[in-house]
Amino acid sequence: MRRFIQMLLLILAITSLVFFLLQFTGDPADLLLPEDATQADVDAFRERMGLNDPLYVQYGRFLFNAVQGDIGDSYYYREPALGLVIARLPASLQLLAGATLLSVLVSVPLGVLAAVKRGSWMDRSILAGSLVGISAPSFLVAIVLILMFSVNLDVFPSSGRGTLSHFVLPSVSLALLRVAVGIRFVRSGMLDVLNREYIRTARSKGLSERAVLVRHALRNTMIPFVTITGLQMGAVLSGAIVIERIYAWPGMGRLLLNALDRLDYPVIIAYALVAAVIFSVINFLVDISCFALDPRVRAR
Amino acid sequence: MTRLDRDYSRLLAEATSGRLGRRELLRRGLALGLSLPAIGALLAACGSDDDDTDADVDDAPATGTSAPGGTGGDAATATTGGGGSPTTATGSGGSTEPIEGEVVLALGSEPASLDPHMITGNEEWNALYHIYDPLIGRDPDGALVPGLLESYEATDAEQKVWRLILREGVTFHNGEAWTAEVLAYNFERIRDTEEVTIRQYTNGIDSWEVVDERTLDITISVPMTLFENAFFQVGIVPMTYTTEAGSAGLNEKPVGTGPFTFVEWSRDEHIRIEVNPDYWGEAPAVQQGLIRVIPEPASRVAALVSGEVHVIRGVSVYDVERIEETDSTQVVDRPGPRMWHLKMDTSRETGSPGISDGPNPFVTLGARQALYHAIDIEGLIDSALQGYAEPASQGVAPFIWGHNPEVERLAYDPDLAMQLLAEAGFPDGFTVRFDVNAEQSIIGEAIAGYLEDVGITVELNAIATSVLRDLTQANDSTLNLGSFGSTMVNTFYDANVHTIDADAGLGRSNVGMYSNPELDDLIDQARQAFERAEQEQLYKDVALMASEDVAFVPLYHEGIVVGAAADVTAVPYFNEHVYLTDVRGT
Repeated sequence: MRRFIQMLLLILAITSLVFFLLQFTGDPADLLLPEDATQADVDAFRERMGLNDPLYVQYGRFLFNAVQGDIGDSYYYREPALGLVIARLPASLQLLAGATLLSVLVSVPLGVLAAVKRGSWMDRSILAGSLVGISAPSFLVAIVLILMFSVNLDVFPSSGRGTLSHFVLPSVSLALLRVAVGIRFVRSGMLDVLNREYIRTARSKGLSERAVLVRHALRNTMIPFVTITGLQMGAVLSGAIVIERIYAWPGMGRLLLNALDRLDYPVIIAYALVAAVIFSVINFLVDISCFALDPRVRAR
Repeated sequence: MTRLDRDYSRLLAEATSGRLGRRELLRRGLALGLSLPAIGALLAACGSDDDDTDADVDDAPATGTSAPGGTGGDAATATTGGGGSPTTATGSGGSTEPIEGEVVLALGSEPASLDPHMITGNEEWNALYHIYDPLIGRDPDGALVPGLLESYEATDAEQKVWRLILREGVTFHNGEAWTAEVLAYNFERIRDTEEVTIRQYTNGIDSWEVVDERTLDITISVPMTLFENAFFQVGIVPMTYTTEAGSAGLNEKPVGTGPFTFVEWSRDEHIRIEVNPDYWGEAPAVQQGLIRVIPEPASRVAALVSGEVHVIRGVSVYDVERIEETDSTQVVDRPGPRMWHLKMDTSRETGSPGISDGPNPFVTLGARQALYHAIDIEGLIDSALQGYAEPASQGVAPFIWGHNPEVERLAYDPDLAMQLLAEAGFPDGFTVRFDVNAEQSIIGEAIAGYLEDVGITVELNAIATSVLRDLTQANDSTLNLGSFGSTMVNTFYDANVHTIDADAGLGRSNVGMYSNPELDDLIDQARQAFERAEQEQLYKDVALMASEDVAFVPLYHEGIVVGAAADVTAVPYFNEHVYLTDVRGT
């Protein structure tokens, strides 16, 4: 229950912060009407959107509507902002899930391999690769991937959403940074665990190396790994914004970028709200999974 | 055809059609390796005397019926661009054989709505003009061509009452008829519906009267020439359908009179259209069309080069080489209207925000002239814009009505600039903050370089669009780089040069609060002149006076670059539009 209240307060704080920050960014009325619209039309627009009211009035109105679930209508689309964001949520979640799955599938085996073969050329090359992944900006990676696989090799489409092959490049671009970080994390986690006494005990019991690795070492590494992965979803979500734009993927991030350009306040705030909810839910799930995975937590 | 052959024949085609200025011809000829005598011969053959492209914009006279086409079905319209000068290397207009398969056009931003009265941006119009038609159309150069109006004439001596004759044989996609009543409905909707964004194009139509099915009389308080230009921005919606379904209905299933009918709209992704078999104009070659949205310019180019899309607009000059290198794609370009310029704070003698201490130089004409002389526009265009721009001497481009060919740029003369600065009281130059949009930082840096050469120290302030708008709207900028895409001479001067008068809706883009009462009078007169020739002369006078007083420093007209598959023709328009309607196979 307490967690729930905390979550609500967090969401309120985030959306209020965004609301106030937006006040410093410029005048949406000017940006939303054609260049040659008359000053009279611009003023009428501002009046209609309530932008001329004092700040506390606007904030009060915002809060009052927000608790009823109404974030307001998008200035640009003239439709409820929250609805617009939620409509694009599945597309973004799809990308998020794909990237996370990919990063787990790749970073765990590679991280384990690097830890087990520590010091060897395999370990060193995996580490070097992960360094590249960490250093390369995601948009650069995305464009290079498009050039290589879409333009030159013509294996995948360069943008849009539709078939499975549309899904590959965006997920890979988004996953790359997570994979790189994940590899290092799994590797150091494994190295740490492999030095523990219970591993030595397991080995001396005569268990196969594989059983030692998977049933004992990996299991223990997974708990912090799951926590980290969950916490990193935030970064993945924000990385998705750029990836969505480059690949013309119709998700929330792309909507946000357009809204930022046009100073479409309701949409920006709606995005912040939905993002805050997503993080809270994910954190909650992470806590639960820790609970399920770690008997020590359960025992408490 | 090798690339070189293609470049030569293209150069030749453009030179002979008169679309190439001398300097441009010389530059490109040299780049291609033509010897000077050869270029000389070419210049002589083309006989272009000045640097401005030959532009005879307006054919429709102020009185009498609009010229081309009459009642014939052959009349070229803006949406089909039929017969307009082709801009591809192959030099032919393309075959009219129907193209099999889906042809894809990629734009950079998605429409907010499919209601043509709620348009907020250039690319929305581009998309919607496949489904809707305007009252008066434009060809690729911006010249007027008949649209849904067949003709119009003044019926009174003062030219304030006009009889509009509607085109026959037009039906909406849902079968509704095109009648004077429907036109009246459209005017009414634009005037009365609160959320409409295109009201500025019908402001001044005071009243209208349905005379018969094909005839509507309107009474105007603003010269008809301004409506001739403005009607291009007015898309026509059906009466019964829109009354019942409203804007929401148009969003879900748009119904117009255009060359294509609506199939589906997948938000943020694409709009699917197919050919309208009953279209009143020239039939498009494209049968199935898809208008995709790919916001990132690099991704658009990638999609074109990989063959996923067939036409793209908004190609950055840095991507041109990539597209030309690929055999299966081509670049099509033309001069554009968007005029980039420098605006200066002329309202404060001291305390100007971009001058940290000391007087504001820009209140004196000499300092403004110095700024003008300091910039080598040819060098700037060649280096920063890869040649895809034309030097500007005034508010509107040479192919826009109202352009004054007698007004020329002040010459590049850094020594004169320094002398003028000294005479203005700044022998050691001055320091100024130069505000530019972050996306224009390269141009900003280039200009800063030229200013530094004449002793002006520049602090380049590259910021986001919205922040820049804030600064400029609050008159918080001393020197800034701006652009205005006006395709109508009246809106340019009303918004940028006229003294700010919020009630009258003037000076909305007059950053720096430039105010010249004599020029204001001239602009006001020009706006009110009902006689076409008189109005044109007045706007030319405006251009001259604005230039002499350096109301702003004109820089260049941005070129329009469009990418297309090599086996189709694509026609970019003066306003950056490109339509599937014009795409033909070669």
